[in-house]
Amino acid sequence: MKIVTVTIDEKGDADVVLEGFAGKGCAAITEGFVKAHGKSVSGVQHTADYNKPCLTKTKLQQKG
Amino acid sequence: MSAYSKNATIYNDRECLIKALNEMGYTNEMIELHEGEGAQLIDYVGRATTYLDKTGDKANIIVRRKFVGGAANDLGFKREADGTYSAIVSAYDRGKHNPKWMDGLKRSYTEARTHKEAKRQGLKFYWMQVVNGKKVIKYLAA
Repeated sequence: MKIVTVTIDEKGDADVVLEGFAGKGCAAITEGFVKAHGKSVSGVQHTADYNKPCLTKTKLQQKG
Repeated sequence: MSAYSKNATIYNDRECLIKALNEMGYTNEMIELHEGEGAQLIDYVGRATTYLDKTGDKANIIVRRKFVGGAANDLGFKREADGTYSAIVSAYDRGKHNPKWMDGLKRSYTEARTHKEAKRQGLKFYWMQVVNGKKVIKYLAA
């Protein structure tokens, strides 16, 4: 099962965790959320797991 | 004091910002939308202000002072060249629109923007709950 979990903290900042995705499919979804939350796509970093089944966590830090 | 100050935000989606303002108590009927350079902001005595712009302080999303409170000034959000909206809040109204209120607006905006992006990506809403003060939203992907 592929699950996207978004956690929004008290300040309105968000974490995105993807489970069950493989490689580039994972990155595409992450980048979509990064764009949506106003952070540059260049802020995405791929880990060594990029070519493995995907389990990744991205923190979306926002100003304002 | 009615002096305005402008603060940058990450809000880049008008629809989600309006939803967030709704969540914070300002209904659609209380919110004015203006294209282009926006409309003039008015202070608590009905005067057009020029604190930020000598030609007049303007905003694209405005909650007029009568909806903000007693001796309040207009609340505005100005669309910047990069597509984000800056919050324009008077010194007096920072009592109401304080950091806690702004955090609430940002939480509501982030949630609305998250749902919108999930829908765009074809994700299916699974469940949502609050855990230790944080809102956790899960979606399923095909």
